[in-house]
Amino acid sequence: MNTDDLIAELSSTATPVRRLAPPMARALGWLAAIAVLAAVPIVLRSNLPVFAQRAADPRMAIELFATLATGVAGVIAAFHLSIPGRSSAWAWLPAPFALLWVVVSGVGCLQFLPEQEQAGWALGQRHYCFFFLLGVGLPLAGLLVLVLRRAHPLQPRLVASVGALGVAGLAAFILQFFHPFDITVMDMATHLVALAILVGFLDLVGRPALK
Amino acid sequence: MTGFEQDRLWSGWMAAAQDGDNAAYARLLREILPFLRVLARRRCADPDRAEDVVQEVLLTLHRVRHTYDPARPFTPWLAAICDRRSIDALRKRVRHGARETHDERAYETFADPRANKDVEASIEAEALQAMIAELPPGQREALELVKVKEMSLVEASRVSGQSVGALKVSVHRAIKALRLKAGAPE
Repeated sequence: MNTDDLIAELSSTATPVRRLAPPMARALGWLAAIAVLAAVPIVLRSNLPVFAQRAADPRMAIELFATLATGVAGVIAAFHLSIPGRSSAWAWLPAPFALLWVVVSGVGCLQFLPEQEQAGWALGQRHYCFFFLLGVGLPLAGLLVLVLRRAHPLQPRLVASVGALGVAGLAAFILQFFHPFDITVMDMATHLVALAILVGFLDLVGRPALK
Repeated sequence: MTGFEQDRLWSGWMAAAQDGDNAAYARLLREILPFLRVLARRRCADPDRAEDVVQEVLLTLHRVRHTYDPARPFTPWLAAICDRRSIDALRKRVRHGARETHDERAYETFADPRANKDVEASIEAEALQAMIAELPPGQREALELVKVKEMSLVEASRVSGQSVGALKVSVHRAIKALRLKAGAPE
């Protein structure tokens, strides 16, 4: 088909379309919906006094901030990157928070290692965190893909990766409400494996869905 | 017209197209063609490939036209689509280039050039078939079994019921007859 025929066909078959809202508004709307969804089990099932006590620790407070900020920044960045013409620098938005998260978690598990001795390396009940992160993260990833795919991103891999980082941050933040103990080396390892599965899931399943 | 004015014009047509104005859409797609061709040819030196990229850009633009925000400039939005599709085309070409090998002789059916004279060969084959059909039945059968189907004399003897000696004679006579019909010297 030559280009003139293609233009004739496209313009004659075009139907009115509903414009997407600005990416920041869509991202904040999605985050607000997730906050409402997450608030229900947090209020009903978590031990908020214990959480408040743990959050009073400066290191823990920084970690909480870092996970939430990684989540929010990752989601906002993914929404912006899904629209043509937006700067690819958005991809870097969650990076400093993610770095802070890794550093603070690492410091935390090394700080408690002498006290925990062998327990720090034991697997114990850590599978709980693993399945929690996946149980929260995978549905979040699915919900994010569902909304992002409306834009038919031109760079689905980049959008999926940045979105996965955002979802990982949010899942890790929600986990803290149900995780009434300090992080150990094995905790961190199980968290990292769960988050890697999440990122891999979005890359394998989310990327084709975003095309 | 300045770049800014042109952008506002295109942006207006795009906004109208989003609202269902097909004439504005057609005008927009025609007007942006030179711009797209310049961008595509920066990455694809081959004009045919560049035109393929332009068509890909038009299809993508059509698919994502709801993502354009009329409050923002149109040209960066369009250039991003063109840039992405040009990179995709380039990657595709590199990927295919790594897997495919160009073979100049691929269009020929046989390595021996003499075997590619299809037309002459088919005419000659028809003439030969007609000559074989005119042979006496015994000679025709012997020739088909031994020379066309390439059976051994023993196998042909079992199939035809003729003795090996009779088959030898029949094949010899058949070939002699064909040579005479074809005008070959004895």
